[in-house]
Amino acid sequence: MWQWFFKLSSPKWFYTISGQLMPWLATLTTLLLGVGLVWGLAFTPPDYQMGENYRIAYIHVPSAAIAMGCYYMMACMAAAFLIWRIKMADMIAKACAPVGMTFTALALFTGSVWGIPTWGTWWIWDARLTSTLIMLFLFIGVMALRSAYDSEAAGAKATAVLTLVGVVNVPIITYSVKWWNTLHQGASSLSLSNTAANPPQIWVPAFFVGFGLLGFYLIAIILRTRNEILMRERRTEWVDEILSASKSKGQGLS
Amino acid sequence: MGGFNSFSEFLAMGGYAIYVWSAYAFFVVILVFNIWQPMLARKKYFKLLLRREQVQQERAQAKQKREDMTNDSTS
Repeated sequence: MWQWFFKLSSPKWFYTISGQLMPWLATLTTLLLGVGLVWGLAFTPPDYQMGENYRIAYIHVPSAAIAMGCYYMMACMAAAFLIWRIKMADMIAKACAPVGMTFTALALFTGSVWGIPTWGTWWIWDARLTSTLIMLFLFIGVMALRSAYDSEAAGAKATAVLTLVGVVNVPIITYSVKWWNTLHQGASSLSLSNTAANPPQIWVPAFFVGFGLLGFYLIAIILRTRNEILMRERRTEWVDEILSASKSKGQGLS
Repeated sequence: MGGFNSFSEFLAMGGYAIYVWSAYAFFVVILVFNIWQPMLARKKYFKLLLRREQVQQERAQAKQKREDMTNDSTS
């Protein structure tokens, strides 16, 4: 197990394995997203109260879930970096911030747009909306803090601490709909019965979009992490080989 | 099973077109950004390294030239 742990923390190993994994992940993601989006947008029945507007939920729910998962992942990486000084963990944490920020922005935007006809307002200081907005600011703050340091090592350390302090906000987002009785609805229960309010033909496509978006999230993290590896390991022999190989090909995209 | 009867009905989204399609448009923007930006950064980085290498080579050549000239004048 420790050998696996050691391997995982090797930038060269990560770069090689992620490069091999990428085409499979990209194919799977495209398939899942394609099926899920077409199904959810065009082939599911309308909601009896929200009409066609509920179709926004197919992207709103998974993007919010992935944004929160992204923060947890960033926090785990920050902890691994602070405890074991694993540089690879810091590189992944650095990649998480912009991706998590965009997913949080997506969740907020889609929710707002959905809220205009449904709630009659695009924004309200509801517990869940507010805590999600705080998460957006935390992602931005983490990026700003890192860029404020000239020293990479000092910036990584400070960013990791801020990330861990901010992680308290994520369970608040999760439980906000239970703890406070404000506007945002709770999680829908999924029923296998066709006569239920939330039958399988509504939520099955949501799982396709959800797993597709999860695959997309991994791709986005991997792309950024690979760039970071090339940047930080530029003085090593194996990166030099990759660079010279891309030079002879003209462009390096693989 | 539900769904739409025609393509124009699909586009109209039962009167919610502006909400549904703007949400999905932003979704596409976020997806494209998350792929395009790291790919562009990678391209830029490779170009930068390539140029740096060229500059180093030119410097080395110029240095070699100077050394050759001084060697010529002393011998």
